[in-house]
Amino acid sequence: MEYIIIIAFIAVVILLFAGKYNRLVTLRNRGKNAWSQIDVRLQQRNDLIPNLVNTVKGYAKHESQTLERVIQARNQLMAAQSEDNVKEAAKAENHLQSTLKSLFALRESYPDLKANTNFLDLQEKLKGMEDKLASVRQYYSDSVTRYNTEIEKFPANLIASMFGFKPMELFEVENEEVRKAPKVEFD
Amino acid sequence: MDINQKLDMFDAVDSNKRKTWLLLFIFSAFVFMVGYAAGYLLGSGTFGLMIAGTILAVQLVILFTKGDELILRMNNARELPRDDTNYIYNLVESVSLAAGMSKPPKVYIIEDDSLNAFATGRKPEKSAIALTRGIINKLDREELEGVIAHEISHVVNYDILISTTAIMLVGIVSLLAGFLRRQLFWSSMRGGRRQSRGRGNNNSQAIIMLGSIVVIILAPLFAQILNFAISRKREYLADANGAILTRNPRALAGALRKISGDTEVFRSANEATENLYIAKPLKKDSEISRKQRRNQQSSLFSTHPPITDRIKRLESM
Repeated sequence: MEYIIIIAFIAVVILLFAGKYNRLVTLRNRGKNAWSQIDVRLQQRNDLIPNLVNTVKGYAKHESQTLERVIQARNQLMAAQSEDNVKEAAKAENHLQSTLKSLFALRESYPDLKANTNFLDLQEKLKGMEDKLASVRQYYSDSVTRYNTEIEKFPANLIASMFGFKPMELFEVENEEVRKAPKVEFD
Repeated sequence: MDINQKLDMFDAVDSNKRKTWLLLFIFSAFVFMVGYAAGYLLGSGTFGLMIAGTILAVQLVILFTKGDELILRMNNARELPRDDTNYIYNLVESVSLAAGMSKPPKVYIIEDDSLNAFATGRKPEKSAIALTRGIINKLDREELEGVIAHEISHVVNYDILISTTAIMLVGIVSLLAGFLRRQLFWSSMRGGRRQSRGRGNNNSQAIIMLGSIVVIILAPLFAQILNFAISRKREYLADANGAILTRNPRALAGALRKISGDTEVFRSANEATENLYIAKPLKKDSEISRKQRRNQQSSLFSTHPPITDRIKRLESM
């Protein structure tokens, strides 16, 4: 009789354990999937940048320094992406954003550029890409936050340390202003 | 970031899938039972089983292949032509990306001046969102984004699976009930004739009894199906998840306020599908709609939670 109780108890513990473990796997995969979506969107935008730089070059030859910096930031980002280094990629992305801003600021000093349809097209395309990138980033940060919270909790933290579930990096730079999730209470 | 664990959309997915299977299982068992009993009383139980099986099989095939299309057609929705310049498509796409969908839902439009929206489909990859012309015209961009996020929450957590299933099942029940009623009618006519010729009427009495039993069983089943599909908690959950997706609870609250102030009658409203909508559609009959309004404040049986309460919750986020 006692054996049965002990075996039943062990079986229940193992089942609970397995459930938690599978949950962690699901959450981690969701985070990875979200990262690959960011990766794809970043790549799309990276592909657009040379085209943009060439268009601007035609009008603003003397701004080679700005153009150079855009290309450099893009290459940095691509390098970080190829290593799946989220932290570096976030830093590079942030840098790229600021260089792109200064690139678009050029249109004020070059009216011809501002009137160029190709440039306007690219600008519009880039804006669309940035919007989508923002959405994907939000999904990534939601997923990762969820995963990171889960592996800190008991008893998931035991399983996490046993099977090497490491916290994932957020695709964010410190001090960066991020749209905050609203606080939600639900009963 | 405070994303309450209970609110995780993906946690609702398993529960919704399980409930849908349970619903289908109980429902099939029930249909076979009724079919067998009716067949038995009419002469052949096996025949009854075959009829029930056929009806069930046809309906389930329709449900799993064309369920969403049927619902869209019942509501006179037509597909909005895919166009990247259309801001509605951009909104849908960006919200669906934030929800982690691999493919945005299709967008349908209902040519109606009232303010309403719904989502349908079996799974997120094959889902659709329908918006009325009125809601597109009268809401501003952020409010519309809130409504779209509410619908996408329904899509991502598989509420659409269970609601689409429930609507189709209710459809089968009414079909079956109609079939039984006709059978009962004819056999009672025959029984009547027989009776006048002096023969026994045990058989027709049994059929009438069966009929009442079916009605007795059907009523709560119906209620259960609807309850499964449109538990009020689902609406609150979709509101909250929508707010998380857009990071903008106020916009959705504003949209709900505009929707609740809407006096336009929903011409395309279809009785069977009204539970799908973000807010209960107003009926043609002004008497009914006035009553509906009054009931919106408090009622245990209304399918949608009171809109004022939903707004309050959103504004306190």
